[in-house]
Amino acid sequence: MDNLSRLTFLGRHSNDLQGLRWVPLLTWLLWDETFLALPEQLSGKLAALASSIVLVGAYFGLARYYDRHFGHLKQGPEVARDRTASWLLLVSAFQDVADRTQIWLVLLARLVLLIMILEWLYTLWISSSHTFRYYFVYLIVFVMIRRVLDKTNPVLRRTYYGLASAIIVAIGSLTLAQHWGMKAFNITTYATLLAVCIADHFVLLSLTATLTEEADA
Amino acid sequence: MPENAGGFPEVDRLIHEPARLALLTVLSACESADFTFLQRVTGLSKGNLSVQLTKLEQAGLVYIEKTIYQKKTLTTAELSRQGRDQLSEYWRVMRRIQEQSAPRPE
Repeated sequence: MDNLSRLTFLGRHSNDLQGLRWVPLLTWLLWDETFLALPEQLSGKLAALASSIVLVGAYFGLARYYDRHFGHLKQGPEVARDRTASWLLLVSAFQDVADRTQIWLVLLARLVLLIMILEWLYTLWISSSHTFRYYFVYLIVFVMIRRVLDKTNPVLRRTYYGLASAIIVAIGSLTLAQHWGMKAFNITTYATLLAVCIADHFVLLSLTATLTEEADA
Repeated sequence: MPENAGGFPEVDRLIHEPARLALLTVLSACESADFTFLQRVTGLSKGNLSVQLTKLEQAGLVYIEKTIYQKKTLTTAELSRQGRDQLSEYWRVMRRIQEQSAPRPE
């Protein structure tokens, strides 16, 4: 990656590379179910409350760490939109895409979103929330695939996002097909997303300079 | 378009300086960025960064906003409309120079 590409990439995506920031939230969503599964016991409720407070504190602590050490960047609206799954829903997503592979991806993603909504309504109807969790994680995978297709990303980043997406989809499909419990799915998804967050942090470190008083152009 | 003695189009020397070109490149890719971010990304010293930002502000290429946040001065830079236009023109000139200096096919 040449210097101008590096500067442009950091100017657009620096906030996305602050991977450690998302670790507490990720932990709360995918790992904390152990405590949340014990609502009847007082110790379970207290553990859930305490861990939530610690994780919220950790989130703000890490946000502060990034602000102090890497500064603050306000991204343009088009980049902020790409960070979320909302790009899938926009008509302009078709205009943005660079090649036909991405157009098919957008179409496929919209189809899966439609199935998700119908499935969710169905599970609400039959009072079961079991399958919706897989689809929720698949939504994260679609956001991750956007990173794979973005050619401004370093090859290394595109590769590990691709690998992580494949692992999550594979474990989700296996869990559904083999009727495994949620434990294997949760642990694998958590470990994969954690690895992606840490890798993003190291990419940020590798692309930015260490602050020194003597550094010059 | 003005040309120099060699017949090449004149390059905007204010933008052509590496440190200022780096700053403008970063700012053109985002809405705004603070001093720490620009320092971290460009690797410039505080003094040099401050000088370059002042030059760009005086030329009307960037807006500088200083606010007090948690008892510290927070400096934020944003590319102005003029800065965006001049940077685009700079790259246009550079492409033209590249085309002129490219070896002719045999």
